[in-house]
Amino acid sequence: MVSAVEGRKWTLDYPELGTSPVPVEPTVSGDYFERERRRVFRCSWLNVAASSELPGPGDYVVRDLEVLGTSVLLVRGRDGRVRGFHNVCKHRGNTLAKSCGGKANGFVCGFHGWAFDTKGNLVHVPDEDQFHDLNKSDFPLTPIETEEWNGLVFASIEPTESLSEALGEWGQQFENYPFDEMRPVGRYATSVRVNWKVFMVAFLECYHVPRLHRRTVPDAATGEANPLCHLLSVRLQGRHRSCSVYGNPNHAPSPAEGLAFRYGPTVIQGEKAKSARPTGVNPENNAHWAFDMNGIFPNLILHIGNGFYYKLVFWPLAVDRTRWDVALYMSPAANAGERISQEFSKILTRDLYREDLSTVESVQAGLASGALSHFPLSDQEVLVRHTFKVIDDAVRAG
Amino acid sequence: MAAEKRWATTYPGLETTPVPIAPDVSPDYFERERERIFKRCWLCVGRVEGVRNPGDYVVRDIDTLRTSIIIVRGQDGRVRVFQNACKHRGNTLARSRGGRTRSFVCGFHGWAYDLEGNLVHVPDEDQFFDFAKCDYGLTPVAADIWEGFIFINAHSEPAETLKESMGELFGQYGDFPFDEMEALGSYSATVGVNWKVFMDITQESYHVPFLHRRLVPDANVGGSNPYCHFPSIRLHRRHRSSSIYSNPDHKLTPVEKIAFGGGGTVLDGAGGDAGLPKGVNPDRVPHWAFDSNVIFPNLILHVGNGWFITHSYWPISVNRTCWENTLYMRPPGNAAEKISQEFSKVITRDLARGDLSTLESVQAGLASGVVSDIPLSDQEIQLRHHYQVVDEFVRPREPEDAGSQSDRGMNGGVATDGVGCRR
Repeated sequence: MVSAVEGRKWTLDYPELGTSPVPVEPTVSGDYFERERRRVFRCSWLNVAASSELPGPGDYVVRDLEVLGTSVLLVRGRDGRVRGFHNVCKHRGNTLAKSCGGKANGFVCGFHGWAFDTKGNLVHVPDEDQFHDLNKSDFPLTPIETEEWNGLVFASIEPTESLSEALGEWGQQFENYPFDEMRPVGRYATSVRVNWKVFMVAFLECYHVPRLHRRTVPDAATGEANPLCHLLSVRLQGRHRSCSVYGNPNHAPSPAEGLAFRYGPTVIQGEKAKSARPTGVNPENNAHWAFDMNGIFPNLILHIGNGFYYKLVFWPLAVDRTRWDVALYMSPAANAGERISQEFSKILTRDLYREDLSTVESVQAGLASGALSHFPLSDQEVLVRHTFKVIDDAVRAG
Repeated sequence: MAAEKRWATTYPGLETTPVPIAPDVSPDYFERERERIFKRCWLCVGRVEGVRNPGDYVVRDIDTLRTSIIIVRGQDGRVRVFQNACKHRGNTLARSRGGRTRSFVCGFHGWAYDLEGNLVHVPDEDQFFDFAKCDYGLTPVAADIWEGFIFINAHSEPAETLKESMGELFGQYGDFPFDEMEALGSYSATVGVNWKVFMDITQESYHVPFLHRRLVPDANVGGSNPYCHFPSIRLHRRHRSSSIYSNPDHKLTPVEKIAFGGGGTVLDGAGGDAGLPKGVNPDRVPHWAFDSNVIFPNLILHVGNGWFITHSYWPISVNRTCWENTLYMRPPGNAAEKISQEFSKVITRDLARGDLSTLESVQAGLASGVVSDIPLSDQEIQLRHHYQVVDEFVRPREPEDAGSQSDRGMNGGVATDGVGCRR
């Protein structure tokens, strides 16, 4: 299998990427970061939630979007629609919803008691006749464009295209993937001293797997046929990108893994999982497939496999600081055995992430030191190259 | 003590008016210090004994330069310094604080470098494009050695050699046996104080009779010198040296009696300068305790009879400084000498604690805005000189050529006006 593509260079399929070393400057320059704020984040559709976080009318979540200097209040109305608002009272600007989520019929500001309904209308003003020519309809919550797509919620401050246009070819490929049927089994969040792009690309290449993860997954993703974890296939789709990752068919499970494998799909089981493969993933039908890595512009990564998807969102706080929100979603466990299998996947994923995190802060320190002005990228790091390219295109297009 | 003499008369180039404290509290001034002093001047990062044999290496995080370095002795016996960053994706290369190795292997993708910094192995190398390993050696940092002290220069093309930078002090200690001594103990602390204020407390002994009155009530004051006046001060172009007084009538405490009986201590002025090279106590002042050398920009080196002490000051921000203090003596010949050395180590620690407890309060007072200028005594003339030397580097001499891209060094080099170390 892997030998069939050996000698092929993915990067050469996309001549616009070039093959020369990539500049470090976008990862350390405060000026570049300010341009990213305006030209990448302000006008893009950003994943702010999964639909399953707001299942019914009145369910709401609050998301701080530090990169845009605001906080967004997402709430599902009685009409079933998810709406987004700046989480700011229109009276004096106080933060409206103070908790990070819940269920509510409306929102009452803690400063003077102004009340808004779930569609953002101002419905009550205490001592209203003390105001001058006040018309409540002039003071609704300030909306933020919000759309749901196949179980995921996106928002944009100044959209220049529709969400489906923005998701493009990648979105068409996954529009029937059952994101909405999966349930969260774990969440991890942390703030890390690293540029958001440096952080993100650590999850878009497998060149590091045989070295960095050699103790955690010594043979699950590498093996005799593919000792260096080469990618099975690469798909660059406009501003998005994806690839299929190898799973070693001869992987020898540890005792704990053996137990987990007996009861249901796990993240490292790949093609051997019993259930039918859902639509969208592994489009080339690669043999010995483990899962797909998807990078969705600008700051979302979806690792999608058989019976699970992992959602990794990278929120820049500063040029060298990033908040990371990770949610692990899996098909609902049908029995206790499947639950054990899911817990195994969750813990294994946590351990892999810890290895990744320990590295990215060191990488940022190295880039900031000025020791290198460019980094060379292997063909196996073609998604890394693409990430820097499409972001740079957006920054320059401004 | 000699008849009262004014140091200000010896050094008429220095004012006698109060000194502005803006350099101690201004973030802007601090950034200029970082760019024009620390990124351009020679900085001491350790002793050669720390990397005695081929393959020995030490890793040092230099917050002031926002970098980490590897100091390593090659198979050829040469000491080299590299930026501790893999040239593939920038990951920190050496993760331990030091040790002995034959190569450095990056933990991210397994790139391997030899002791001379050459990239010698790239896993899956044929996946790279137009790739030559020789283009990706570790980034070297300029390094040189003075009397066994390793210095680095963050600038890719230092404006002067280490010898030029050492100036008047270059040959001073040629006969002092630094290499016969071993590190006996180290202290370090990160303190909420400007680096210059921190160094100042070790450039004057005006505070000794007050701040240290309990710890050393009569070791350095008493008799003819109740205020611990300096018997000798030597202001150089950029560095400065002084000799510190030792009270010949110092009454030993019971513990000191035991320690002094076992061998030389840092308080033991009685040993005097007998048998010392001529560079030490060069004025041959009587009742000599030790010499203190302030080596620009951030090293203080005390040299006594049979010992030396280093203080390194690494600014982190305008009001935060990391301090490293090491005491070196000859290896003890017997248990009694070991006891004597332990006494020196502990008294050094206690004196430093007294200094440190004061420094954060001083910085808070300066930052409060209550004072804008500080009056300095003639005994504090080294502080006056210190501020003048620093200011000569920092003060713009000519309009800033802010657009210049020619300046290369660590962190890509921020354009400055080129005053720097170039004189």
